[in-house]
Amino acid sequence: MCMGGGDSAADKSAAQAKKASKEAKQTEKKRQKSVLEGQDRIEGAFAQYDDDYYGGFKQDYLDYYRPQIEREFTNTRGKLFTGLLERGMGESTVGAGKIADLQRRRDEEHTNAANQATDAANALRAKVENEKTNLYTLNLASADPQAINARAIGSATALAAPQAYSPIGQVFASALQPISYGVSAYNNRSPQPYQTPYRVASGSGSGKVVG
Amino acid sequence: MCTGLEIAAIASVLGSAAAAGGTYMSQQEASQNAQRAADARNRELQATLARTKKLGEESRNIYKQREQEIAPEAAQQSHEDATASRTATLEGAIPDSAPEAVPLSGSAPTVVKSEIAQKLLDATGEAKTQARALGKIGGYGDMWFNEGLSTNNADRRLSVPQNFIQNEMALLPFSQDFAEYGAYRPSSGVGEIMAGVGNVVASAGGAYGGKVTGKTPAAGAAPITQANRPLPGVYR
Repeated sequence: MCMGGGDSAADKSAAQAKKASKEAKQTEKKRQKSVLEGQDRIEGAFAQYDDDYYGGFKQDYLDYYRPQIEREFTNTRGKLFTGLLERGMGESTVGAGKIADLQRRRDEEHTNAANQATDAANALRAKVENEKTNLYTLNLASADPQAINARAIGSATALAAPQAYSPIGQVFASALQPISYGVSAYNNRSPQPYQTPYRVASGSGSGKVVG
Repeated sequence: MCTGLEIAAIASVLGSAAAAGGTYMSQQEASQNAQRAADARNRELQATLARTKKLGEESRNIYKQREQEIAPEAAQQSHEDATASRTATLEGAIPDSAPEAVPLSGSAPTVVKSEIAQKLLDATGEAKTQARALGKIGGYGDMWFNEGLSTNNADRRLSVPQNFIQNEMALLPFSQDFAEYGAYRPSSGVGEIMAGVGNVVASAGGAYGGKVTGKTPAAGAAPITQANRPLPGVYR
Protein backbone atom coordinates (compact mmCIF):
# COMPACT_ATOMS: atom_id res chain seq x y z
CA MET A 1 0.00 0.00 0.00
CA CYS A 2 2.81 2.28 0.99
CA MET A 3 4.74 1.28 -2.07
CA GLY A 4 1.70 1.85 -4.20
CA GLY A 5 1.44 5.36 -2.75
CA GLY A 6 5.11 5.93 -3.50
CA ASP A 7 4.63 4.93 -7.11
CA SER A 8 1.70 7.26 -7.42
CA ALA A 9 3.69 10.20 -6.02
CA ALA A 10 6.56 9.37 -8.34
CA ASP A 11 4.24 9.15 -11.31
CA LYS A 12 2.72 12.48 -10.38
CA SER A 13 6.16 14.06 -10.08
CA ALA A 14 7.21 12.58 -13.41
CA ALA A 15 4.04 13.85 -15.05
CA GLN A 16 4.65 17.32 -13.67
CA ALA A 17 8.23 17.26 -14.89
CA LYS A 18 7.07 16.15 -18.33
CA LYS A 19 4.46 18.88 -18.41
CA ALA A 20 6.96 21.55 -17.35
CA SER A 21 9.41 20.37 -19.99
CA LYS A 22 6.72 20.40 -22.64
CA GLU A 23 5.61 23.89 -21.64
CA ALA A 24 9.16 25.20 -21.74
CA LYS A 25 9.66 23.76 -25.21
CA GLN A 26 6.32 25.07 -26.46
CA THR A 27 7.11 28.53 -25.09
CA GLU A 28 10.44 28.57 -26.89
CA LYS A 29 8.83 27.29 -30.08
CA LYS A 30 6.20 30.01 -29.87
CA ARG A 31 8.88 32.61 -29.22
CA GLN A 32 10.83 31.45 -32.27
CA LYS A 33 7.70 31.63 -34.37
CA SER A 34 7.06 35.16 -33.10
CA VAL A 35 10.63 36.16 -33.91
CA LEU A 36 10.27 34.85 -37.47
CA GLU A 37 6.96 36.68 -37.85
CA GLY A 38 8.56 39.86 -36.55
CA GLN A 39 11.43 39.39 -38.96
CA ASP A 40 9.00 39.07 -41.87
CA ARG A 41 7.24 42.25 -40.80
CA ILE A 42 10.50 44.16 -40.56
CA GLU A 43 11.51 42.96 -44.02
CA GLY A 44 8.06 43.95 -45.29
CA ALA A 45 8.27 47.43 -43.81
CA PHE A 46 11.74 48.00 -45.26
CA ALA A 47 11.04 46.43 -48.65
CA GLN A 48 10.28 49.88 -50.05
CA TYR A 49 13.90 50.96 -49.44
CA ASP A 50 15.39 49.31 -52.49
CA ASP A 51 17.77 50.54 -55.21
CA ASP A 52 14.97 52.48 -56.87
CA TYR A 53 14.31 54.35 -53.64
CA TYR A 54 17.94 55.41 -53.25
CA GLY A 55 18.12 56.21 -56.97
CA GLY A 56 15.07 58.42 -56.53
CA PHE A 57 16.68 60.12 -53.54
CA LYS A 58 19.81 60.81 -55.57
CA GLN A 59 17.73 62.27 -58.38
CA ASP A 60 15.79 64.45 -55.92
CA TYR A 61 19.07 65.69 -54.50
CA LEU A 62 20.27 66.60 -57.99
CA ASP A 63 16.94 68.15 -58.90
CA TYR A 64 17.40 70.47 -55.95
CA TYR A 65 20.96 71.54 -56.74
CA ARG A 66 21.15 71.43 -60.54
CA PRO A 67 18.75 74.33 -61.20
CA GLN A 68 20.65 76.41 -58.66
CA ILE A 69 23.91 75.69 -60.43
CA GLU A 70 22.40 76.53 -63.79
CA ARG A 71 20.86 79.75 -62.48
CA GLU A 72 24.14 80.85 -60.94
CA PHE A 73 25.95 79.87 -64.12
CA THR A 74 23.57 81.83 -66.34
CA ASN A 75 23.83 84.94 -64.18
CA THR A 76 27.59 84.76 -64.04
CA ARG A 77 27.87 84.10 -67.76
CA GLY A 78 25.77 87.19 -68.49
CA LYS A 79 28.04 89.32 -66.34
CA LEU A 80 31.08 87.78 -67.98
CA PHE A 81 29.75 88.51 -71.49
CA THR A 82 28.99 92.08 -70.47
CA GLY A 83 32.43 92.54 -69.02
CA LEU A 84 34.12 91.04 -72.04
CA LEU A 85 32.07 93.13 -74.50
CA GLU A 86 32.77 96.31 -72.53
CA ARG A 87 36.44 95.58 -72.87
CA GLY A 88 36.10 94.69 -76.52
CA MET A 89 37.05 91.08 -75.86
CA GLY A 90 33.71 89.54 -76.79
CA GLU A 91 35.06 87.75 -79.83
CA SER A 92 38.64 87.30 -78.75
CA THR A 93 40.61 84.19 -77.89
CA VAL A 94 40.99 85.43 -74.32
CA GLY A 95 37.23 85.94 -74.07
CA ALA A 96 36.58 82.46 -75.46
CA GLY A 97 38.99 81.07 -72.86
CA LYS A 98 37.14 82.87 -70.06
CA ILE A 99 33.81 81.49 -71.28
CA ALA A 100 35.27 77.98 -71.49
CA ASP A 101 36.71 78.35 -67.97
CA LEU A 102 33.31 79.33 -66.65
CA GLN A 103 31.69 76.36 -68.33
CA ARG A 104 34.34 74.05 -66.88
CA ARG A 105 33.53 75.45 -63.44
CA ARG A 106 29.87 74.78 -64.10
CA ASP A 107 30.60 71.20 -65.15
CA GLU A 108 32.73 70.66 -62.05
CA GLU A 109 29.90 71.94 -59.89
CA HIS A 110 27.55 69.45 -61.52
CA THR A 111 30.08 66.70 -60.92
CA ASN A 112 30.46 67.70 -57.28
CA ALA A 113 26.71 67.81 -56.82
CA ALA A 114 26.38 64.32 -58.31
CA ASN A 115 29.22 63.09 -56.09
CA GLN A 116 27.56 64.54 -53.03
CA ALA A 117 24.23 63.09 -54.11
CA THR A 118 25.78 59.63 -54.27
CA ASP A 119 27.38 60.08 -50.85
CA ALA A 120 24.10 61.35 -49.42
CA ALA A 121 22.27 58.34 -50.85
CA ASN A 122 24.88 56.05 -49.29
CA ALA A 123 24.53 57.82 -45.95
CA LEU A 124 20.78 57.42 -46.14
CA ARG A 125 21.15 53.75 -46.96
CA ALA A 126 23.46 53.30 -43.96
CA LYS A 127 20.92 55.01 -41.75
CA VAL A 128 18.14 52.76 -42.97
CA GLU A 129 20.27 49.64 -42.55
CA ASN A 130 21.21 50.69 -39.03
CA GLU A 131 17.58 51.16 -38.12
CA LYS A 132 16.74 47.78 -39.57
CA THR A 133 19.49 46.17 -37.50
CA ASN A 134 18.18 47.85 -34.37
CA LEU A 135 14.74 46.47 -35.10
CA TYR A 136 16.13 42.98 -35.56
CA THR A 137 17.76 43.23 -32.14
CA LEU A 138 14.56 44.50 -30.60
CA ASN A 139 12.61 41.74 -32.28
CA LEU A 140 14.87 39.08 -30.80
CA ALA A 141 14.63 40.65 -27.38
CA SER A 142 10.88 41.17 -27.37
CA ALA A 143 9.54 38.50 -29.74
CA ASP A 144 6.37 40.52 -30.05
CA PRO A 145 5.48 40.81 -33.74
CA GLN A 146 2.71 43.35 -33.20
CA ALA A 147 4.96 45.76 -31.32
CA ILE A 148 7.72 45.24 -33.86
CA ASN A 149 5.31 45.92 -36.71
CA ALA A 150 4.30 49.25 -35.18
CA ARG A 151 7.90 50.14 -34.46
CA ALA A 152 9.03 49.14 -37.97
CA ILE A 153 6.37 51.28 -39.63
CA GLY A 154 7.23 54.17 -37.30
CA SER A 155 10.92 53.90 -38.10
CA ALA A 156 10.26 53.63 -41.82
CA THR A 157 8.09 56.75 -41.71
CA ALA A 158 10.70 58.68 -39.73
CA LEU A 159 13.32 57.73 -42.27
CA ALA A 160 11.17 59.04 -45.09
CA ALA A 161 10.77 62.44 -43.40
CA PRO A 162 12.31 65.33 -45.37
CA GLN A 163 15.65 66.81 -44.43
CA ALA A 164 16.96 70.34 -44.81
CA TYR A 165 19.58 71.03 -47.47
CA SER A 166 21.52 74.25 -47.94
CA PRO A 167 21.40 76.13 -51.22
CA ILE A 168 24.65 76.25 -53.15
CA GLY A 169 25.32 80.00 -52.87
CA GLN A 170 27.51 81.98 -55.29
CA VAL A 171 29.78 79.30 -56.65
CA PHE A 172 30.93 81.18 -59.77
CA ALA A 173 31.84 84.49 -58.16
CA SER A 174 35.52 83.81 -58.61
CA ALA A 175 35.04 83.47 -62.38
CA LEU A 176 34.22 87.16 -62.55
CA GLN A 177 37.21 88.23 -60.51
CA PRO A 178 39.42 89.14 -63.49
CA ILE A 179 36.64 91.35 -64.88
CA SER A 180 35.82 92.91 -61.53
CA TYR A 181 39.50 93.43 -60.88
CA GLY A 182 39.68 95.27 -64.19
CA VAL A 183 36.73 97.50 -63.27
CA SER A 184 38.23 98.18 -59.86
CA ALA A 185 41.56 98.96 -61.39
CA TYR A 186 39.91 101.41 -63.78
CA ASN A 187 37.99 103.10 -60.97
CA ASN A 188 41.06 103.31 -58.83
CA ARG A 189 43.34 104.46 -61.63
CA SER A 190 45.85 107.21 -60.86
CA PRO A 191 44.64 110.79 -61.35
CA GLN A 192 45.70 112.83 -64.41
CA PRO A 193 49.21 114.24 -64.14
CA TYR A 194 49.59 118.00 -63.46
CA GLN A 195 48.56 120.25 -66.31
CA THR A 196 49.11 124.01 -66.49
CA PRO A 197 45.96 126.01 -66.48
CA TYR A 198 47.45 128.36 -69.06
CA ARG A 199 46.95 127.85 -72.66
CA VAL A 200 50.02 126.66 -74.33
CA ALA A 201 50.60 127.52 -77.93
CA SER A 202 50.55 124.58 -80.11
CA GLY A 203 51.26 123.94 -83.68
CA SER A 204 54.18 124.83 -85.78
CA GLY A 205 55.62 128.33 -85.97
CA SER A 206 58.83 130.18 -86.18
CA GLY A 207 60.80 132.28 -83.81
CA LYS A 208 63.42 134.84 -84.21
CA VAL A 209 65.99 136.07 -81.80
CA VAL A 210 66.39 139.81 -81.88
CA GLY A 211 69.84 140.80 -81.21
CA MET B 1 17.57 -32.54 14.87
CA CYS B 2 19.54 -29.41 14.67
CA THR B 3 21.50 -28.33 17.64
CA GLY B 4 21.30 -24.79 18.92
CA LEU B 5 24.68 -24.04 17.46
CA GLU B 6 23.59 -25.22 14.02
CA ILE B 7 20.46 -23.15 14.19
CA ALA B 8 22.49 -20.12 15.11
CA ALA B 9 24.94 -20.76 12.28
CA ILE B 10 22.19 -21.29 9.73
CA ALA B 11 20.39 -18.12 10.88
CA SER B 12 23.61 -16.14 10.63
CA VAL B 13 24.36 -17.44 7.16
CA LEU B 14 20.85 -16.97 5.87
CA GLY B 15 20.62 -13.53 7.44
CA SER B 16 23.89 -12.47 5.95
CA ALA B 17 22.88 -13.86 2.57
CA ALA B 18 19.57 -12.04 2.71
CA ALA B 19 21.31 -8.84 3.73
CA ALA B 20 23.80 -9.20 0.91
CA GLY B 21 21.04 -10.03 -1.57
CA GLY B 22 18.98 -7.08 -0.42
CA THR B 23 21.93 -4.73 -0.69
CA TYR B 24 22.63 -6.06 -4.16
CA MET B 25 19.02 -5.51 -5.21
CA SER B 26 19.08 -1.95 -3.85
CA GLN B 27 22.29 -1.26 -5.71
CA GLN B 28 20.85 -2.74 -8.87
CA GLU B 29 17.79 -0.55 -8.62
CA ALA B 30 19.93 2.53 -7.96
CA SER B 31 22.13 1.62 -10.89
CA GLN B 32 19.11 1.17 -13.15
CA ASN B 33 17.77 4.52 -12.00
CA ALA B 34 21.11 6.16 -12.78
CA GLN B 35 21.12 4.48 -16.20
CA ARG B 36 17.56 5.65 -16.91
CA ALA B 37 18.48 9.18 -15.80
CA ALA B 38 21.56 9.18 -18.02
CA ASP B 39 19.55 7.84 -20.96
CA ALA B 40 16.84 10.47 -20.42
CA ARG B 41 19.39 13.29 -20.23
CA ASN B 42 21.14 11.99 -23.33
CA ARG B 43 17.87 11.78 -25.23
CA GLU B 44 17.18 15.43 -24.41
CA LEU B 45 20.69 16.37 -25.48
CA GLN B 46 20.32 14.47 -28.75
CA ALA B 47 16.94 16.07 -29.45
CA THR B 48 18.34 19.55 -28.76
CA LEU B 49 21.40 18.89 -30.89
CA ALA B 50 19.16 17.69 -33.73
CA ARG B 51 17.18 20.94 -33.55
CA THR B 52 20.26 23.15 -33.29
CA LYS B 53 21.98 21.24 -36.09
CA LYS B 54 19.42 22.52 -38.56
CA LEU B 55 19.84 26.05 -37.22
CA GLY B 56 23.60 25.65 -37.36
CA GLU B 57 23.43 24.58 -41.00
CA GLU B 58 21.24 27.58 -41.76
CA SER B 59 23.81 29.85 -40.09
CA ARG B 60 26.66 28.20 -41.93
CA ASN B 61 24.90 28.67 -45.27
CA ILE B 62 24.44 32.37 -44.59
CA TYR B 63 28.12 32.72 -43.78
CA LYS B 64 29.19 30.65 -46.79
CA GLN B 65 27.11 32.83 -49.08
CA ARG B 66 28.80 35.91 -47.64
CA GLU B 67 32.19 34.26 -47.98
CA GLN B 68 31.54 33.64 -51.67
CA GLU B 69 30.51 37.25 -52.14
CA ILE B 70 33.81 38.48 -50.75
CA ALA B 71 35.97 36.01 -52.72
CA PRO B 72 38.65 37.76 -54.87
CA GLU B 73 36.80 37.42 -58.18
CA ALA B 74 33.48 38.53 -56.72
CA ALA B 75 35.14 41.40 -54.84
CA GLN B 76 36.86 42.53 -58.03
CA GLN B 77 33.53 42.49 -59.84
CA SER B 78 31.94 44.40 -56.97
CA HIS B 79 34.69 47.02 -57.21
CA GLU B 80 34.23 47.39 -60.95
CA ASP B 81 30.48 47.68 -60.60
CA ALA B 82 30.77 50.31 -57.88
CA THR B 83 33.29 52.32 -59.89
CA ALA B 84 31.18 52.10 -63.04
CA SER B 85 28.07 53.18 -61.17
CA ARG B 86 29.65 56.25 -59.57
CA THR B 87 31.51 57.22 -62.74
CA ALA B 88 28.32 57.00 -64.78
CA THR B 89 26.52 59.19 -62.24
CA LEU B 90 29.25 61.84 -62.21
CA GLU B 91 29.83 61.83 -65.94
CA GLY B 92 26.13 61.86 -66.70
CA ALA B 93 25.63 64.93 -64.54
CA ILE B 94 27.70 67.09 -66.91
CA PRO B 95 25.52 68.87 -69.51
CA ASP B 96 26.61 69.08 -73.13
CA SER B 97 28.48 72.23 -74.13
CA ALA B 98 26.28 74.86 -75.80
CA PRO B 99 28.32 77.19 -78.04
CA GLU B 100 25.11 78.69 -79.40
CA ALA B 101 24.52 80.27 -76.01
CA VAL B 102 27.54 82.52 -76.51
CA PRO B 103 26.30 85.93 -77.78
CA LEU B 104 28.33 86.58 -80.89
CA SER B 105 27.54 89.16 -83.50
CA GLY B 106 26.32 87.89 -86.81
CA SER B 107 29.44 89.19 -88.46
CA ALA B 108 31.74 87.26 -86.16
CA PRO B 109 34.26 85.33 -88.21
CA THR B 110 33.73 81.61 -88.57
CA VAL B 111 37.16 80.97 -87.13
CA VAL B 112 36.14 82.79 -83.94
CA LYS B 113 32.91 80.82 -83.72
CA SER B 114 34.66 77.51 -84.23
CA GLU B 115 37.38 78.41 -81.75
CA ILE B 116 34.83 79.19 -79.06
CA ALA B 117 32.94 76.00 -79.84
CA GLN B 118 36.16 74.01 -79.66
CA LYS B 119 37.17 75.58 -76.34
CA LEU B 120 33.77 74.78 -74.85
CA LEU B 121 34.00 71.24 -76.16
CA ASP B 122 37.46 70.88 -74.66
CA ALA B 123 36.21 72.23 -71.35
CA THR B 124 33.42 69.63 -71.33
CA GLY B 125 35.91 66.91 -72.22
CA GLU B 126 38.21 67.94 -69.37
CA ALA B 127 35.31 68.03 -66.94
CA LYS B 128 34.28 64.52 -67.99
CA THR B 129 37.83 63.28 -67.56
CA GLN B 130 37.85 64.77 -64.07
CA ALA B 131 34.48 63.17 -63.36
CA ARG B 132 35.81 59.76 -64.40
CA ALA B 133 38.85 60.21 -62.16
CA LEU B 134 36.64 61.22 -59.27
CA GLY B 135 34.36 58.25 -59.94
CA LYS B 136 37.35 55.94 -59.88
CA ILE B 137 38.38 57.21 -56.46
CA GLY B 138 34.83 56.98 -55.17
CA GLY B 139 34.56 53.41 -56.45
CA TYR B 140 36.89 52.19 -53.71
CA GLY B 141 34.76 53.63 -50.94
CA ASP B 142 31.54 52.52 -52.60
CA MET B 143 32.79 48.97 -52.95
CA TRP B 144 33.61 48.68 -49.24
CA PHE B 145 30.44 50.47 -48.31
CA ASN B 146 28.47 47.86 -50.25
CA GLU B 147 30.53 45.06 -48.72
CA GLY B 148 29.83 46.49 -45.28
CA LEU B 149 26.13 46.51 -46.00
CA SER B 150 26.26 42.89 -47.13
CA THR B 151 28.21 41.86 -44.03
CA ASN B 152 25.77 43.74 -41.86
CA ASN B 153 22.90 42.01 -43.60
CA ALA B 154 24.51 38.60 -43.07
CA ASP B 155 25.13 39.44 -39.42
CA ARG B 156 21.51 40.44 -39.03
CA ARG B 157 20.30 37.23 -40.64
CA LEU B 158 22.71 35.18 -38.54
CA SER B 159 21.47 36.76 -35.34
CA VAL B 160 18.13 34.96 -35.61
CA PRO B 161 19.27 31.30 -35.77
CA GLN B 162 22.06 32.10 -33.32
CA ASN B 163 19.50 33.44 -30.89
CA PHE B 164 17.41 30.29 -31.34
CA ILE B 165 20.44 28.09 -30.72
CA GLN B 166 21.39 30.02 -27.59
CA ASN B 167 17.89 29.67 -26.20
CA GLU B 168 17.73 25.98 -27.03
CA MET B 169 21.04 25.44 -25.25
CA ALA B 170 19.91 27.54 -22.30
CA LEU B 171 16.83 25.35 -21.95
CA LEU B 172 18.81 22.12 -22.21
CA PRO B 173 19.86 21.78 -18.52
CA PHE B 174 16.30 22.30 -17.38
CA SER B 175 14.79 19.91 -19.89
CA GLN B 176 17.45 17.36 -18.93
CA ASP B 177 16.52 17.77 -15.29
CA PHE B 178 12.85 17.37 -16.13
CA ALA B 179 13.62 14.27 -18.17
CA GLU B 180 15.65 12.86 -15.31
CA TYR B 181 12.77 13.43 -12.89
CA GLY B 182 10.48 11.68 -15.33
CA ALA B 183 12.81 8.70 -15.69
CA TYR B 184 13.30 8.19 -11.94
CA ARG B 185 11.59 5.15 -10.51
CA PRO B 186 11.40 4.86 -6.69
CA SER B 187 12.93 1.81 -5.07
CA SER B 188 10.64 -1.25 -4.74
CA GLY B 189 11.80 -1.52 -1.13
CA VAL B 190 12.36 -5.28 -1.43
CA GLY B 191 16.11 -4.94 -1.37
CA GLU B 192 16.12 -2.66 1.64
CA ILE B 193 13.68 -4.95 3.49
CA MET B 194 15.75 -8.00 2.65
CA ALA B 195 18.91 -6.27 3.78
CA GLY B 196 17.29 -5.08 6.99
CA VAL B 197 15.70 -8.41 7.84
CA GLY B 198 18.85 -10.27 6.87
CA ASN B 199 20.95 -8.14 9.16
CA VAL B 200 18.53 -8.68 12.02
CA VAL B 201 18.47 -12.44 11.46
CA ALA B 202 22.24 -12.59 11.17
CA SER B 203 22.65 -10.60 14.36
CA ALA B 204 20.11 -12.73 16.17
CA GLY B 205 21.80 -15.88 14.94
CA GLY B 206 25.15 -14.62 16.16
CA ALA B 207 23.72 -13.72 19.52
CA TYR B 208 21.99 -17.07 19.84
CA GLY B 209 25.13 -18.92 18.87
CA GLY B 210 27.11 -17.08 21.51
CA LYS B 211 24.58 -17.92 24.10
CA VAL B 212 24.58 -21.59 23.17
CA THR B 213 28.37 -21.89 23.34
CA GLY B 214 28.50 -19.82 26.55
CA LYS B 215 31.19 -17.65 25.23
CA THR B 216 29.54 -14.53 26.41
CA PRO B 217 31.42 -12.89 29.30
CA ALA B 218 30.03 -14.01 32.65
CA ALA B 219 28.63 -11.44 34.97
CA GLY B 220 31.27 -10.10 37.33
CA ALA B 221 34.18 -11.32 35.20
CA ALA B 222 37.24 -9.20 35.15
CA PRO B 223 37.49 -7.01 32.11
CA ILE B 224 40.03 -8.09 29.50
CA THR B 225 43.23 -6.12 29.75
CA GLN B 226 46.60 -6.27 28.11
CA ALA B 227 47.83 -8.45 30.92
CA ASN B 228 45.16 -11.12 30.87
CA ARG B 229 44.34 -10.99 27.19
CA PRO B 230 44.41 -14.55 25.80
CA LEU B 231 46.95 -15.37 23.17
CA PRO B 232 45.62 -16.08 19.67
CA GLY B 233 44.53 -19.74 19.35
CA VAL B 234 44.51 -20.34 23.10
CA TYR B 235 41.09 -21.09 24.53
CA ARG B 236 40.36 -20.95 28.20
